[in-house]
Amino acid sequence: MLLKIEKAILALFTAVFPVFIAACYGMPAGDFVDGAVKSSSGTPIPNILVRCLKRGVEQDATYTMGEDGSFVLGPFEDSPPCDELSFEDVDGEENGGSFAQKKIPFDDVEYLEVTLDPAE
Amino acid sequence: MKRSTFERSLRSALSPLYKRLETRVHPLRYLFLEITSQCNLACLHCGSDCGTSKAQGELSTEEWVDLIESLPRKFPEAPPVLVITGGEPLCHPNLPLILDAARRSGVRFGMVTNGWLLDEKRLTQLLGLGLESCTVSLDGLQASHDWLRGREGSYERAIRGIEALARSPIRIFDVVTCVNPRNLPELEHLEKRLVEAGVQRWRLFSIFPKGRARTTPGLTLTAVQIQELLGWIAQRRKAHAHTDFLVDFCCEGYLPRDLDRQVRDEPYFCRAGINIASVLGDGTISACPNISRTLAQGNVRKDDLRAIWETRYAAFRDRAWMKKGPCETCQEWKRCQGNSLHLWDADRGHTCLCHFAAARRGEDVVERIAAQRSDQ
Repeated sequence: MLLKIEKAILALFTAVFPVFIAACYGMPAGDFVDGAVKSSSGTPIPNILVRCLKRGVEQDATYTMGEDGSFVLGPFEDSPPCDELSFEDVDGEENGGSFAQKKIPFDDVEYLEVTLDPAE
Repeated sequence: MKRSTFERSLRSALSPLYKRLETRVHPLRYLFLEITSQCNLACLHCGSDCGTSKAQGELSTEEWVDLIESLPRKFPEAPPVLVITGGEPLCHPNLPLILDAARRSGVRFGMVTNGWLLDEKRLTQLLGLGLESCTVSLDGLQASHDWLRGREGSYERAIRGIEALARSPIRIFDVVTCVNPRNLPELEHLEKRLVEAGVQRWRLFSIFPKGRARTTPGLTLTAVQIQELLGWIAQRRKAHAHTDFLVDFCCEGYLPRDLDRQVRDEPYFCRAGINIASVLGDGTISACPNISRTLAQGNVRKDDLRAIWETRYAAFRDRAWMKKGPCETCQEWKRCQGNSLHLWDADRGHTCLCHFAAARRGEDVVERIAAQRSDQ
């Protein structure tokens, strides 16, 4: 019973303070969230702010990059690393148009493909 | 992901509770697989005493594949991340078969390499097999690196591998440097070279007096040099606070709390046997590969890894037995618990290095106590 309680507290602890291990002569290890952002016409969109949120608290943030509009968030030790992902166009027309902000629940898929609609 | 000063302070304050819980629950998160002791370099500081040919009695490819395939069954809640290491793992003739077993089993893995065999083509193959993380060793500028690694050209090869990683879509990679008296003055130039190469994470170790480093003179830093190294890391971390380049002191060594926060993102915590295990080349089950063989817990040829993980490892999870030598009367014992376990010197019967005394006073407390004892 005590161990169950300790496991629950530990799970809560690692959810709030994700742990990142790079031990001795080992490589860095953690969980990642990766994917790409496209417009509704299928064009990749660079410079979209992607945020990974857990109970509203930001765990990590990055921008989409390159020709394919890809992004990688992490590394995170706990799984799932977040409960919500937010996509926000922060540079207006510069990245090929103005896009509406989108929030989606986190889904543990191998590669996330997100489509943004034009801003109204 | 860099941590803010506030987050580092909070984590540091809560770390005693976190360590207690993690030790009690001890989820296996990180499993070293020393797939070969064969190596194409001849490092002066090698902790595993590797050679140009593989050692007698090493696990066969089939045994590694069987072990990896069994991990999702043995650890259904979450199989540990595999650290493919050696020797030099890229020397293993059947490495793709071993990595493919991990990929098919859904077990995540990364690799530690000296970079000699890591070119673009090899990296593409490894990424296709599911490599998600990699560490390359770079121990100074050209002359210093080639000297320590015992092979001319090893610096150029390592840089080639690092640049290939920086251009690749790998999820994460870093460079580690074993700091010694020869490369300590070069760190600033090395940092510039790494930034040029596209590196974003750099971990620094000090060479500790074990393995070949114990018998090769001039490899280990003095206490004052350890102080200098830590001060330099703290200063560079400040300088890079708003860049995407992260400089970190490695996980080794209990430090004064304020300094600990300045030189690393994660508060000191020796996770050996708490979250970390290893299967060595001959099947021996231990924790970090550099830990004394006297602390071996079993062998995968005759023991079940999960059963060993759950029922043994007592010496790793209760370290009261390490309160010897310089730790016996130390005020920091409760928080330090004998420093990192791989620094345990089985011959002397106590730790071989005290980072705390070195960092705080520039004092080699281990040698001072040894000298006092021999005088008595």
